[in-house]
Amino acid sequence: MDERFGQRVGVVALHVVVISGALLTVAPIAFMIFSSFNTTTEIFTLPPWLPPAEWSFKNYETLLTKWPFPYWYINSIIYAGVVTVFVLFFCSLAGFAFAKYNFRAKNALFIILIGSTMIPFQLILIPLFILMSRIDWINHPASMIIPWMAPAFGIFLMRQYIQAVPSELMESARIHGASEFRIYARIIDPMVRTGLTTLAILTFLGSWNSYIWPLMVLRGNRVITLPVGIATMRSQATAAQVPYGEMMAAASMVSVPVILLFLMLQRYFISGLTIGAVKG
Amino acid sequence: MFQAAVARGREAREGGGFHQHRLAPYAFISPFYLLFGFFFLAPSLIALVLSLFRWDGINDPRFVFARNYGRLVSDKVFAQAATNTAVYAIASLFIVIPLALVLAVLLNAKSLRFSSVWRAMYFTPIVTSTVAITLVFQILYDRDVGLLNAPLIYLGLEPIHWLGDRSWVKVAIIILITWRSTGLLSIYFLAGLQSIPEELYEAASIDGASTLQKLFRITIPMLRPIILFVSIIVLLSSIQIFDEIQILTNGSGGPANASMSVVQYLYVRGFTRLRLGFASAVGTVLFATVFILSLIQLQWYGVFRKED
Amino acid sequence: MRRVLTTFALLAAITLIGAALPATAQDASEVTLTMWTHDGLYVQFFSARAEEWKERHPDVDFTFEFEVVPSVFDKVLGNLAAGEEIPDLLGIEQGSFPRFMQGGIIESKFLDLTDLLADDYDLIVEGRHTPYKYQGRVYGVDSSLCGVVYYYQPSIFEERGLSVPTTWDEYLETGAILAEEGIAMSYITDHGGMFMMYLLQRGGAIFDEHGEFVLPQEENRTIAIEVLNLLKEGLDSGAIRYVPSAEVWGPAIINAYREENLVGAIMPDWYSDYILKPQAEDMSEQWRIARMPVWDEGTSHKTSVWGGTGFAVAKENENARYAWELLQYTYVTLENQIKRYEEIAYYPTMPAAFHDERIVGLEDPFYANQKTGEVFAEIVDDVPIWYQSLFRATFEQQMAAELAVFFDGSVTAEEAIDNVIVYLEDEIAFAE
Repeated sequence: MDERFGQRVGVVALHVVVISGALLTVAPIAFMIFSSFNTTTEIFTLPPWLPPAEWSFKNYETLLTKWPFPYWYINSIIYAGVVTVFVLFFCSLAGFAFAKYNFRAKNALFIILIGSTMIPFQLILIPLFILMSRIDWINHPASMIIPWMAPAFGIFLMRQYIQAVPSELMESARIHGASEFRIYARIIDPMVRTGLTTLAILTFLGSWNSYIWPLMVLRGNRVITLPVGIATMRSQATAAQVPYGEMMAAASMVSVPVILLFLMLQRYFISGLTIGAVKG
Repeated sequence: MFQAAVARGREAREGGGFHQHRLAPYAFISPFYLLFGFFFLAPSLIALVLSLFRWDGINDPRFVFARNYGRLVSDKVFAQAATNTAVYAIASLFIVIPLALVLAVLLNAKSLRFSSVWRAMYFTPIVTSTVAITLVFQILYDRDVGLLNAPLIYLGLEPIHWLGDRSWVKVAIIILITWRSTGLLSIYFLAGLQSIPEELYEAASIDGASTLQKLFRITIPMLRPIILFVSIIVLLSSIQIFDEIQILTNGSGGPANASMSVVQYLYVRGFTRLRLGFASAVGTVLFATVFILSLIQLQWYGVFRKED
Repeated sequence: MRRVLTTFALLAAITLIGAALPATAQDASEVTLTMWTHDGLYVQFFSARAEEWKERHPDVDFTFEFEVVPSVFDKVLGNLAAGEEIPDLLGIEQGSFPRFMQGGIIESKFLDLTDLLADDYDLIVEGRHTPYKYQGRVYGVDSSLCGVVYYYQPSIFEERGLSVPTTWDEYLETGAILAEEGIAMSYITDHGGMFMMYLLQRGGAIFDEHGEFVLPQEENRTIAIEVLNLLKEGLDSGAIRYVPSAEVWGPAIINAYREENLVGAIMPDWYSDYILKPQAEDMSEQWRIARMPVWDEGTSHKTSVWGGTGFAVAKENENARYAWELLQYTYVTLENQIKRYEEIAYYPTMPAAFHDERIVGLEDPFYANQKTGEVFAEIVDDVPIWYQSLFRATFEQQMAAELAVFFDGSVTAEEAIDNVIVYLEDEIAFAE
């Protein structure tokens, strides 16, 4: 009797903690979305975490008329999309090699791989930019895609997933005369769809949100990507004053599609991350 | 590397399939090493060499040997930035990771209803853009109108100067880090929790173990490999923290450099003051530190063990 | 024939000017002029003037690509490092000018405007030339006077029978009275530039015209300490409020105005249209402008300066000549300086403009139809002169750090200034 009562209290407490934490977590995002429907003055006079009294689309209107927002959007989608496709291919391929083959210098190569994730980008920004200039890639789509096609983190992640695939499948395919690439394409790839989904989302997000590199290499109002566009809006009204309402509208338009995309892929994504983490 | 593999393949007694077997991994990993070598390793080596020079980016570099490193060691602002960064890293490791673990345990509870909804909510922070969400936090941290101070003001207490106080500003940044990463990390733990055999808990219950005892005796030891895996990711990202602080403090790293991170220090020295050689020295020191710490972690984690 | 003649005339002009202008393209019938800046209002103003100006060259087909570029100085310096093109016109925010002084970049890549300005040089106040000077030569034309005034809400004073203070002593006295009700007169922040603003008014200097660090000289050190102690006295009595730099442009300030626990701000001209009006639209007619309080002993200026953006011309670009001509037309004519005020509300840098009714006669409804231009007309000839240095950013950053610890009482004014001096001397020694 007492025990059951205690359990019930426990269950209620569990829900209270989990739900209030979840609400706290989404509060800043809700604030961002609510603010986008307010004027700048209202953002600062009303308690900013409440829904607006009157939903105004003025910020969105200004955004779409004053700025080439659709261009930014399309540019961001193209770059993030193309990079993601290449990353999926190269990272799963390399992850496969690290997971399923023994070859000379493997550990050394793996240390280089891990080490590469530790180079602070700010350190190489100027040398890399000079390199881009030498090969004439400034304001060229290649500079937004090619250097970013095979990130080490993605390879590391894919290695984790592919390790979980039983090696016997490979062996039997090999006996049947399948080429190594065919094994990758026909056996490994289909087995790690969840891992690929995970990597796709993380890569897409990374590219979608990247700022300093597109800022440096892209030139022209219609060529830039969303984060650079937002920064342009921000500096447009002098360094000091930020058009908060418009900023929040822009931020919502940047974030909401990705949140929706994530919700759609959530099932794969979460189980995907899961496998990667379990196996050493 | 390629040639060696080819040669070894020729010597091999087995047929074409074996050749391929030997060559294939090198072919598969080569895109990374080609791209890395050209676009990242070369610039990094240039940066390494530059750290021994004085260079403004435009005029000819001048060799100064270890002077940049000498100044780095004697600069109290660097010491401050390094200390702050260590605080962020330690807080991330010892606050964010345990919190994510607890969250995972809660989300994994069988009696929790609609768990996928709550998981999705905890997950949303990672899909928001850093620039946008940091601006939101700037407003939330505002002393007078910010959400975080609202309860204090309501209770008639002195509001906290989140971004104006030398200690609180670090707390503010740690809260932001926690908000952004707890959800993501808890997913990794959730995965691990689901793989722990239920029998272990049942046996513990029979022995009369409390919930806390189960957490420390079963859950945490069983999750050890995942905790280490997560701690690598967390260490890497927390040591390179830049965007959040840059935007949150209007680029100042203030007050009194109390929030400045090493990468921000690098950025200010390198770009604002146009001392690219000095900035390279900072970057080199940072890289060496992270690399050594990560190797230690990886060793622990057993990544270098031979595959079976 | 006409083209030959034009080219000839141009060549003659260039020789006369004696400046090292690059050769103009032979086929100059199509010209694209580019400009980068961090501020969209400059784009607006330059675009409008460019349309008028191009009529002067009916034979040339101009295209204007004027853009707002975020982190514009990172981008320009990156481009210079890589040998990439930079825009014909670049708006250099005065705080970033020292970055272009490094290694003489400003001299090697940008046009020396000193001789090009010729007689017009003296039409602009000297204090608006010096932020863009390198080794005695001018490389930028400023966009705004940036004179400092006191923005205040008169009702707070009137209700209590107080008058607007004109000296710092009065300011602190009035502030102490208001502080009893929890009202502050103005606010300060831990920003090196803001400290410079107060220091310059008092007649102090941090760098001299050669860029030498002169703060350690006894007179400057004394002034710096005096200024810090004044601010501290205000902070201690509650006359002045401390706001951290992360919040200084944000909603907290505007909210404090609305709740009438903050009277106003001591700020440059740009504060009005870029901070106050857009964020406090609802407070129209509740504001006035007055001169900032002065120091009693005659060494003080009537005003101070903070901010500004000087436009520079890329020397190696083929259209440098047109770029300069457009800049001259847009910024160095009295008429357009007045237009600049009318269109984008930046005050003229030419004292002569302050005799014009369109400046001094303009009634601003936000300030209850006060003729705000009159206040600036009184101070325009007394804008303090100050000098740039390679170590300006280092100074500002270190000063900001010391201000934060000074304001919370952890160090004394002497310690704060001496800490900055020691740090700067280390940095200067490191750079040789």
